[in-house]
Amino acid sequence: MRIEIESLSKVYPNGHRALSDVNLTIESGMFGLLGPNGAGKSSLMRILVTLQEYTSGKITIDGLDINKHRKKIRTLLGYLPQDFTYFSKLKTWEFLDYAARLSGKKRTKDRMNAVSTMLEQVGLFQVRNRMANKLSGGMKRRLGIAQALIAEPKMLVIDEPTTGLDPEERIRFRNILSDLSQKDVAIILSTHIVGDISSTCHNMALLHQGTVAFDGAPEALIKNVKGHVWQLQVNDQEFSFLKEKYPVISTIPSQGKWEIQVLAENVEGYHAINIEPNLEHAYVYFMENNLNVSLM
Amino acid sequence: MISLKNIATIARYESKVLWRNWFFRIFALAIITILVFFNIGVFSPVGNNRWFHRAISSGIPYANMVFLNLVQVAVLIFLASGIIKNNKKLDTNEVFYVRPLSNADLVLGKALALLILFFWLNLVILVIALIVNVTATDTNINFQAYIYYPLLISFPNIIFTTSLSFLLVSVLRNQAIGIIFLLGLVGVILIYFQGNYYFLPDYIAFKLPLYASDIAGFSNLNQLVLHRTIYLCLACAFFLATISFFPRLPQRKVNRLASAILTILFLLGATGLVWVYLEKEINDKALRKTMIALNGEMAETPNIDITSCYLDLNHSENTISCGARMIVQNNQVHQLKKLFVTLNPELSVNKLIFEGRALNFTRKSHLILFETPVPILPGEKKSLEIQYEGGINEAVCYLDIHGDRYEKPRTTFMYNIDKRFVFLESDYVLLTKDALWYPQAWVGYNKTSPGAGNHNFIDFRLKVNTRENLTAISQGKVMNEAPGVYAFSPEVPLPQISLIIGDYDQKSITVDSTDFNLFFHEKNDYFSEYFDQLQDTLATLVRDLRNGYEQDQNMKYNFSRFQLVEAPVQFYAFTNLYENHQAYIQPETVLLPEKGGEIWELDFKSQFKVMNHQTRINNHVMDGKDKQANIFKNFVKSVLTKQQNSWQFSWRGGNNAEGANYAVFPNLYWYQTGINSKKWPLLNKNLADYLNQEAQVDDNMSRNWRGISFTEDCNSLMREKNLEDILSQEESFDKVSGIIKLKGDYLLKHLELQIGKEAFKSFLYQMIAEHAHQTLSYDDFRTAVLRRFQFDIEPIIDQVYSQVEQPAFIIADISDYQVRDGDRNRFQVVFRVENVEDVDGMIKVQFHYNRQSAAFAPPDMNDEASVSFIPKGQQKEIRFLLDERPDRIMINTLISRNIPSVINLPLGQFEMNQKQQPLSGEIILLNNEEVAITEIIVDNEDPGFTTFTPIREPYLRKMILKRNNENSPQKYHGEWRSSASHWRLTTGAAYYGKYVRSAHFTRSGKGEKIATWQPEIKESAYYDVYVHLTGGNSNNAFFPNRRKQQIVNYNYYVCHDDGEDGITIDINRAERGWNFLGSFYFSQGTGKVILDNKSENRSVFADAVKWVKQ
Repeated sequence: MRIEIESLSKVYPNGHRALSDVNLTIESGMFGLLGPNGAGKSSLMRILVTLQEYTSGKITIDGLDINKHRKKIRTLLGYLPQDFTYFSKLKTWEFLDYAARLSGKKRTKDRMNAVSTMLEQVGLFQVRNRMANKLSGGMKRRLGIAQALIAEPKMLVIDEPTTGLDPEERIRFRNILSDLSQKDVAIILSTHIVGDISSTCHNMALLHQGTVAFDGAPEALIKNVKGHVWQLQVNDQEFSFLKEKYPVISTIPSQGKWEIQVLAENVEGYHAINIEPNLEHAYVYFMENNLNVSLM
Repeated sequence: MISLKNIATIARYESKVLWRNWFFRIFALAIITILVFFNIGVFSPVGNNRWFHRAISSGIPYANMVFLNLVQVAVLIFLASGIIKNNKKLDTNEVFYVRPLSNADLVLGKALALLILFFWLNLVILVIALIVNVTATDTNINFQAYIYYPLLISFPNIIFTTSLSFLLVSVLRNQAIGIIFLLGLVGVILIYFQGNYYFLPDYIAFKLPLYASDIAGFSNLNQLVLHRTIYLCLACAFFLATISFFPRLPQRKVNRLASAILTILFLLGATGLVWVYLEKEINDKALRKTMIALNGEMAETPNIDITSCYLDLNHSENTISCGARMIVQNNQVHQLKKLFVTLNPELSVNKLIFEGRALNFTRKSHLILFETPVPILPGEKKSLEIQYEGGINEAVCYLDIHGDRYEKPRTTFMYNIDKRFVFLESDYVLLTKDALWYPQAWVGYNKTSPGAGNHNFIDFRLKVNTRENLTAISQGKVMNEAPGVYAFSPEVPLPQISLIIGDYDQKSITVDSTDFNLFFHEKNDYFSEYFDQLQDTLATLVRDLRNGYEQDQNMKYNFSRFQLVEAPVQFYAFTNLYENHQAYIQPETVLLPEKGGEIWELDFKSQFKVMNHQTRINNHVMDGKDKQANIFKNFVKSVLTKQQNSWQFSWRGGNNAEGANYAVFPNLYWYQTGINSKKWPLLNKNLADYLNQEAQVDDNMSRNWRGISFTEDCNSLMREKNLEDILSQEESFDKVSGIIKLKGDYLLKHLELQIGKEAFKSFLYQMIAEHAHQTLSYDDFRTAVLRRFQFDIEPIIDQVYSQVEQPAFIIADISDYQVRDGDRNRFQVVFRVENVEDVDGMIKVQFHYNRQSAAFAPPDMNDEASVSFIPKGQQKEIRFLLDERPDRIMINTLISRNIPSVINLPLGQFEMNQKQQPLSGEIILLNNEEVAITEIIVDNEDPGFTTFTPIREPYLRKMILKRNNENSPQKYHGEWRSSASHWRLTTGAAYYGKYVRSAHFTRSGKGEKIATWQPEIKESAYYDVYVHLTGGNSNNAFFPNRRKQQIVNYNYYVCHDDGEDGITIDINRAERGWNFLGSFYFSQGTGKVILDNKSENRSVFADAVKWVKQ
């Protein structure tokens, strides 16, 4: 599976330019799409799942032009939108069966088996007869991923999947995606939660104001920030001073003081320990230094 | 582009979602419950409702579908617009939008979901209807109807409403606006359009004539299918347009283009179908216009008369082929060369042979024009043969009827019934002379001489060849020569012949050499079981009924047979202004509606139920045979001979001229003889009405409802316009027909007075007998009257038909008492009448006796009416000496300015007056007696009377009232309408007045509204003051003392020289007429009496006040 996006632009009728000259290549595996709100992530996602047209550029999926082969491409798709909350009055299994039928699973026996397997896989088998709109938030997300997967897609587009989920559900969700990424499936995960990407994605892109600000492996992004993340213990006065001077990434109260992490070339005059950076550090650093966006 | 699998999947799950929608569930439950009760109440033996509702097998499914359809359309609008709307919250939709399915799959799947849902609902309703149908054992089950009604009514409606809702919501992107628009559209169709524009806008099939006959099926199936196909086509276009507008990227761009192209194609298709649908109507309209114009051109053209006509007719599918061999005669004073006959324009003439020689002819619509090689001399007879074939266009019928009257949908109960004048189908035929199915030698309706239809007697013979299993019915002796071959030979010449062919069974009985035949559709024998005990007495019963009728009418039924034929429910006949019968009555034949239709007397089950009830409450003992005989007699006397009233109730008044009339009287007069007059085209009809002794139906409710009666309305119109204008202009048919009747009644009463009633009538009967089976010209009739009575009828006819001015009668001093006449007591009624206008007039007086049931029942037809002639300006005293004590007097002022035109008053106690001699007859009173003026009367329409209402009308109410008044300026108002917040005028015989007896009335209250009578006191003195009351608390002449025990006070205030006195009168105990208030001193130019609106009754009435100088 290979998705190629060339010079993609999207301008809405009201003149808002959502995407501008986006160039990306996405291969099988997990691909993270990171960016602040309004960066153009959802527009790109909706274009990729054929819900929306683009203004210019070109997208090919396995060599198929998305504009010319919409029907074929839709057979390859699985999609979980951001607000997967409101349902028609269908039972959990009916919802999944509905999706399976529309995805082309014709034989009843095969379909029912697939539905049961999928329900078990996402842990919803016990509530299969419950109305979908009566499920909890986490269950709804799981049902969402189940319906996206029921057609065994080659390209899975997931928009903000872990928003509002408790940690247990979030881990469970990440594990499902990780299992899937072992197959020949391109999974595009759009999120503004950096942790979702760092724990699952081998490749990522960072969108900013409709353009691709970074495209590559998360490690490459992290590499930029290596040696610039400092951890130190400070009192209230020092904390106020440092907050003005450096981007503070984390703040933990500790024995009447603050244990903080800051991004800086060097922190002089303090007992600061240089620590190993993660993707979150890299993201903030990138935004602050490369895009001049103050996140703090 | 379309995947049936996807559509089925979407439909399956969307219908599940819809089914789980509480709105739908509540609706479904409610409609099922309502329809269960409706079916049980109306159709089942439990409800035992009118027979007509369930008589025809298509009725039960039809009514159910109409009912459901009307309700489901609104629910459908909500559901359809909800299912298609693009709810931004429902992101779950988008996971389906990314599936490999087309927009067409989505739209059609959702539409199918709705269809499935409503299919089940329709099925449930139909099953309920079917169960009720099965339990109603006296009606047939038409399984096909359970299939074709949903297909014709419900499903096109579901599909169209769904498509329109989808499109609107997709285009407007707003469900609320879409719903408002759609509900508005439904409202406009139901309330405004109804059946207008040939039912075209009626997509809901609310008024579409879909009632199917058991005899002839649908009478208009092609048009019906076309109508529904138009909406299916539009639905396809709307679905395709919705697919184009659907807010989701199509699978392929070309799909959207294809949808757009197909939308246009379907729209074009629908437009084409609309054109085909309307083409027939437009062409028919044009044809009627052409025919009227051609008739006008030919109206004055002299032509031959047909004296005999032999018709050899073959019926095959929906066509006939016929050879008509005729003998024609020149009855003109000049020779004739250019001739014409008329024939239905769809019948093409193959050959025209005159005296054995084929002639060329010209065809202009229905006219066949030809020229004879040699002129036909006056009185000469020639042979003429025409061979023709084709179908029948029924648009040729009733050319005189147009506009709303012609096109108005016919609805009974919940059934919309087509109006058909002709049937020519493969298995059913009904042809009357109106269809021009055989050659006729006169033109029909035209504007030049609208009433100059020829009334000519022809010696008919008819041979019919039809399908072997069908029965042909016509006039005359019938020979069934072979299966499907019938020869009819009428024994006497007839003015017209009709032909009916169908799947008929026959019951016959011969009584006194007359064959009485009953033809009914083979499955429609619902009546035999009710008359199973009459077999041995039927002949006697029929003989008695016939003799009784002939005796009542003083005329003979001269035909050798009398046949009742069941006609399809759609068969309809208009009333022609110049004839006194409808096409339901043919020579020797009455075409009764299918299974008795709405004729109450043919609802035998109900008849027996009522009779059983009455015998029980009256403790009568009547065996089954007597009951059957009574029901049979009741039907004959109420429907066929009209010797007794079929009780009718009319709120609005009118003579129901458009109602179906099955009385056989035309067979005694119209089909036996007649007077032809171009100059007085109404004379023959008026004479027929005069000779027809049928029981009259009075409409006394209209005054209570509208303030004046139907007759007064007609009189008012007659004062505004002359008869010619009334006949030619667009007045309401009911009114025109009423005026013709009033004029006729007046004319014949006038002639009666001049010639003598008995002498005039016996002269007429003699004329009829002498001119049996032929017509008489007006000139011959006039001459005969002149010769016999030395009296010329022409001036009176001229005066009555052309006079616009009307007399006005002041009727006063009605007194009643008993007198001694020899050795017995007799009842004396005396009153004064004065004609105060400058034109002569007549009054008709009748008495009502206690022996009749209701006070408002019309006078017994056996009680003779007395007519008095009151010349202009003359005053008479009219005296009646009666053997029996009457309880009411009815003075009918006929055509006059009087309101009420019939003064119907209760009579008093008839106290013995020993001094008075018995008096009868009338005497002329001297008018110019100088009487000292001692009385001053202020009536409610006099200048001295004023009303005051302090309440301000709400603005909206005022506006509505103003608008209503502008539309129909109404002076008088009915007492039964809700009494108004301001004073209004009403009329009634019991009120005071000269020739208009009226009073003001208003809603009762706390006394804030007042009426004031202010006299012109010319001489200061003591005066006795009286108020005029009707005696009885409701002020309604017919229900005077319903709450007699209750005190109902009116509060009067007399303002006199010594101040103001309040006087209360209990109107329940007041006298009818003048009631004394007291004696007071009034100076010149002062004084008044005030009545306020404080009363226990709903309304307060202010009539007149009288001051009598002491």
